[in-house]
Amino acid sequence: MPPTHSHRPDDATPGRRPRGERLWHAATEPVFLISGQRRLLYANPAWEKLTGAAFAEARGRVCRRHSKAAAAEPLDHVLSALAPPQEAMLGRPCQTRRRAPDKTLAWWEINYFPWSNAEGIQGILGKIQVIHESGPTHAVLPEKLVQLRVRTNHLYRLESWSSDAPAVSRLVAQMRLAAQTPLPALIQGPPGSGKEWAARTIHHLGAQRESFVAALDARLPPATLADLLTSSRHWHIGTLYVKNLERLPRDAQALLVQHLDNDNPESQPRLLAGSSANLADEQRAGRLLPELHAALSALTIQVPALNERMQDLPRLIDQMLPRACAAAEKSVRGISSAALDRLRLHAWPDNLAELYQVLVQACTRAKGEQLDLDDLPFQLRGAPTPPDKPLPLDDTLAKVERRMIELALRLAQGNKTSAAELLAIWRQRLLRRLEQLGLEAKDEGAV
Amino acid sequence: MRHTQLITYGVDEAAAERLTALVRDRAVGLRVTHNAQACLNLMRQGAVGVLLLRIGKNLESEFTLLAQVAQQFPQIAPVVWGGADHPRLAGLAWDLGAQAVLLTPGDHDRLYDVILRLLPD
Repeated sequence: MPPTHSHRPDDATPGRRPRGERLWHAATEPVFLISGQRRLLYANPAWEKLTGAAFAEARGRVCRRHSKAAAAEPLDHVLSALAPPQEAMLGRPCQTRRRAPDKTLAWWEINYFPWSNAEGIQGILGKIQVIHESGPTHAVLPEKLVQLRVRTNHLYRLESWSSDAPAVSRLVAQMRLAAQTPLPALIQGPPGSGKEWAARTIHHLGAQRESFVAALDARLPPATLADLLTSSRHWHIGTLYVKNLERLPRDAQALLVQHLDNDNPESQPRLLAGSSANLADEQRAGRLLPELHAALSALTIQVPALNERMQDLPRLIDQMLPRACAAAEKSVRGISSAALDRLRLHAWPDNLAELYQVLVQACTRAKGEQLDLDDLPFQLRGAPTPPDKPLPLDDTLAKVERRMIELALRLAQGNKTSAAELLAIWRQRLLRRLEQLGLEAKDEGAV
Repeated sequence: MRHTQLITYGVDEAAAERLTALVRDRAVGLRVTHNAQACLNLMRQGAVGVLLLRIGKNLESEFTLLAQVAQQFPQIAPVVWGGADHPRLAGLAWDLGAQAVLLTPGDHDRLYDVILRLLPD
C-alpha cells in the first residue's frame, strides 16, 4: 500500500493512525476537528469521555446552535455547544464559553483554531477546557452574558503588551510575577499610561481569572469600598483595583490597611492600587497613610509613558483602531505613513488615553478606509514649528550659572566660603567663576 | 465639543424628574434615553459625564451597552442601577467596567451621592 500523508514508513501501515492524529488521540484534553461546513470530522477519546457521546455516532453531523426546544437528543446539545462562533468561521482564532450540555454547574471554554487556503476555511480545530462554577445555582449567569465577558476579557491578554521597548518588557515580567502571587501590588505610571489595563491583565493572568475584577474610583463614597471589601455578597470579586490611590479619603485608606492586616489574604479580594503621583511625597505631605504605602509597595509595577515606547506606536494604533472605529461608527483599516510620522512627533503627555482620543477624533473625520493627515485633530495636523531664533546653549548655561551664584552669595550674605558650600562646589572654583563672569562679592568671607 | 452630561438609560420618568433636580444647580445636562443607539450617539457627540444604566428588562442588551460604553467612551463613567440584588450580576457589571454598581436598597440610598462624585469637575 503506498504511503498516504507522511514520509515515515510506519505511518503508512494499514489501520495505524497518522502520527498527527495519534498525538490528538492520546491527548488528555478533549479535542475535536470540524470541517469548513461545520461537520464533525474527528474527536478524541477525551472528548468522548467528556461528552458521553460516541464519535462514531457524531461523525459527519453538523455542529450548529440549537434552541433547547429544537435539540431532540443529548447529542444535539453536544453539537450545539461545539458550534464555532462567527469569528472562527471568518478564519480568526477565538474562544467562547458554553454551558455544559449535562446541565451541571460547569462551563466549556472552547478555543477554536481555524485554518484556510485560497478556497476558504478548510477546518477548525477545537479544544475544550471545563470550568467549574461555584456558588448557588440560582445565581448563575445566562450563557450570553458569560460569552460577553469572554469577548470583553480578550482585550486583557498579556499578548496585547508585546513590545521591543525595554520598559514594556520589564512591565510584562512584573505582571507575570504579580499574577503568580495573591500579594497586594502598586501600579505606578503617568496619567493615561494604562495602569488599569495592566491591573486587569494581571487579574486575567492569575489564579483568580474566573472571578470578577472591580476597578474602584477613589472619588466614590468610602461605604462603597467598605462594601466591596467586607460584604459576603461580593465573594466572587477576586481582584479589587483602586484607582488614584492618593485621592482616597483617609477613612477609606484606613479600611484598606485593615483589610491588608488580615492574616488570610487569600480569602479576600486581592488588592491592586494605581497612582500617577509620587507616593513618597504624598506620604510626607500627610495625604497617604504610611502603613498603606508600605503594604502596597512591596510589589511595585511600573507602567511606562507612551514616549518611552514609541516603537510600539504602529502596533498600539492597530490594537486601538477597532474600538475607535466602533466609537466613531466608521470603518477604518489603517493609517497612512504621513499621518503616522506626524503622530510620532507628538509628545503624548496623556499617553495611551490621549492616543485613543486622537484616533476616535480621526476616525470621526475620516472619509476613506485609511486615516490621513487631514483626519488628525487640528493641534496635531501642523508640523512642529521650527524655532524662529537659535537656542544658544552656552549663553543660556552662563545665565543660569550667574543667577545661581548671585543667589548663593545673597543667601550667604557675601561670604564666599558659605556660598561655595551652598553651591556644592570648591571655593576655588567659585572664585574662578566670579572672575570669569565679572561678578564681584561685596565682602570677603573668612577662609 | 465636550459638555458634561448625566445620561440615563432605562430610567423611568419619576426617577428622571428627581435627577433633573439633582443636576439643575450644577450646569449639568440631563439626557434621558431608552434606546442603546440613542445613548451611544450622545456619547459620539462628545458628552462627558455619567451614564446611569438601569438594568433588569433585557440583561443582554443592557450589559452589552455597558461593555461598549466602558471600552469605547472612557470619558463616561457608567453607573449600574437595578432593583434586584444579584451578586453575580453585580460582579459582572464591575468586571465589564462599571464605575459603581447599586443593586440593593442600601445601595440606592447612595445613588445621588455616587452620581455627583463621579461627574467631572
